[in-house]
Amino acid sequence: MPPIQKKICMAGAFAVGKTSLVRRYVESIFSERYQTTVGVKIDKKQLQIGDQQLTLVLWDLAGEDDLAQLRPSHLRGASGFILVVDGCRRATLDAAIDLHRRIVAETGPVPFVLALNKMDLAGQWEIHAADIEPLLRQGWACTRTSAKEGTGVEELFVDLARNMLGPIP
Amino acid sequence: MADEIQGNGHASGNAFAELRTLLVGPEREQLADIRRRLDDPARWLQDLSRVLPEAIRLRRDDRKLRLALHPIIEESIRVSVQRDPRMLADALHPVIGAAVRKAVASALQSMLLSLNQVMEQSVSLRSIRWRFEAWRTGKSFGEILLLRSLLYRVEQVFLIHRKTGLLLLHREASAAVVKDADLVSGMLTAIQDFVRDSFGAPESAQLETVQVGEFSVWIQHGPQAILAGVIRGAAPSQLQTVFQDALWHIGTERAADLEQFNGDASPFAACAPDLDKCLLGQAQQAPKPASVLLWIVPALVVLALGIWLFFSIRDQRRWDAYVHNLSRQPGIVVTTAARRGGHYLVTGLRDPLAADASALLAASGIPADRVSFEWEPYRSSQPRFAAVREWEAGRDAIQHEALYFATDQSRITPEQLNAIGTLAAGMRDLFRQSDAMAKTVSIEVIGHTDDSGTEQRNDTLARERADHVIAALVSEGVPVARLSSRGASAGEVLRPGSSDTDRAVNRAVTFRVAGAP
Repeated sequence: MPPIQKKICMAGAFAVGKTSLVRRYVESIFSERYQTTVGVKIDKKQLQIGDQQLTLVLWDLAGEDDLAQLRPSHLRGASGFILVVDGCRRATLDAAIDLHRRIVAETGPVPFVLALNKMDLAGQWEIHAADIEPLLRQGWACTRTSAKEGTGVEELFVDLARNMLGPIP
Repeated sequence: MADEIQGNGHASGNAFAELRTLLVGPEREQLADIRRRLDDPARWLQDLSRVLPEAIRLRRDDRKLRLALHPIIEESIRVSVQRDPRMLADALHPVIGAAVRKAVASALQSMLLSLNQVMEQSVSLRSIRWRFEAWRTGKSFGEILLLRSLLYRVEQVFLIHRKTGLLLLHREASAAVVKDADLVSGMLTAIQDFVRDSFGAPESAQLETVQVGEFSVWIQHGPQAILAGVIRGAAPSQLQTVFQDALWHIGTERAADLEQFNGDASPFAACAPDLDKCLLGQAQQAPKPASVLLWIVPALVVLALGIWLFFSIRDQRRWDAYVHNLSRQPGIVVTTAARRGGHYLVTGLRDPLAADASALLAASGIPADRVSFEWEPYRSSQPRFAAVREWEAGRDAIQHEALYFATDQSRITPEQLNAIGTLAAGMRDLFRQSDAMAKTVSIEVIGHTDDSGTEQRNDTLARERADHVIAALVSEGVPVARLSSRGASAGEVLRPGSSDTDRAVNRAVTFRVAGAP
């Protein structure tokens, strides 16, 4: 099978730890300054799903407090996306839900994963199972991650990749 | 009975027909209807027209249908254009209008770019240098401008899927610094979005160049793909056309692959030749290191010339000085002093008493073998030479004189006294002349004998003869200090032989003048 590439976006409210979440797991040549200037930083993640060699080109979109700042042009052509939420801040989940709406409006119904980050600070969490329940019922894929401990990050990519590739025969 | 049967028969015939009608009537009508349809082409058309659009739609992907329709459509368009070209022109106008506008804009931009380059260079310090170079090399300024300003290299070319920003193909020139092309490709797309979003440019506006130091990125936009070239140096604007052509070719060749792109870039590997055509460059002509030989040969020639010049000038000066010196010598008249090849020839007149030309030559530093002389002898009228000649005549007269004696006799006879008187006068004159020339001259008086008698007697006799002559000369006023006497040695025989005449000649006293003026 020839290797394929997919564009995926990563979005989330300001300071949810998007960049630190993936830092150790991606190949990068650009500094984080790009996010504040151009509004996006592009990294690369290579995966092997079954026989399929897959390159994820990851558009790490700048975190924002004001959702209106999301640039639709950055979402164009994305085959999937990752929404990152800070488990310790309830507001970031609301932001993610709004982001999801806006992103899907641009990309159409593409696979995505909701990453509930800062799992290592579980004691301080403001987001509870009850908050996630309705999302799970809508078919959202949710996973808990920890940028600090590196938990769940690799799985995050693999899950999204599997969803994007569809059922493997 | 027969009638009945007949009547029955008739009745049964009707009944059969009725039965047949009842049984197969509808089918017969259908059959008749089908036959009518088959016989009536107008009906076929109606039927076909009902299914044709759907049939064509079903066969849309069928290559055979396309091939079949292709010539018909082509012909139709041709006929349509022949009949009324305006119709097609109207139909194409929106497309062609945009295409022409874009082409014209692009051409104008290219022209402006090159104009800018020229304007920029016509006032800079660099341009003054180039103008000087043009003047120096005899080339036109335009040629130098082309030579020096269009030095560039397309180091990398990216073919990028427009919608996703994913890299379709990347080609690089050898030795180009290549970072992760996937990421660069994405970032290029992101930067374009950034520029467009940030400055409120319309969706159709596109970023076409990015300039970073000596690098520039030229971006060509197609409907599905973007071609970005990373260029080092200043590229000519014509390069844009090369990029455009490559992108257009890929866009038409790979339209379906671009449309259906799902992340698999492998079909685009076939576009490598198109991208490679964009990897152009004009290498700077490094100034050739001048060959050492190129310097050594002229240097040697100059050195040789210098040496030759030095020696020839030195020789010429020496020669001039020598000839000048020669012509100043008394008793020498130089008529020609010519040089043939490396050899000199001097002709002229020379008094035998004059200085020796060859001896002067040794003092001048000119090798004697390079000079030959052709002298005509002459007598110089120089007073000094006249005096010398007079002195020489006097000397010769004295030296030719001899006083003869009888056998075994040393006495001066009275007849000899006359001769001695004349001799003494000649000697006094000679001494006077010598004194005038500041020359010390003395005279030897030599006594001779014949071969008779003993050797001892002869020795005594010879000296006695000489002494007697000196005494006689002194008495005639010749200064004695200037005179010396001696007997002749065995080798000084005046006339060899033993006859009476020989002996008479040998019984004599002779004179020798020592010293010269």
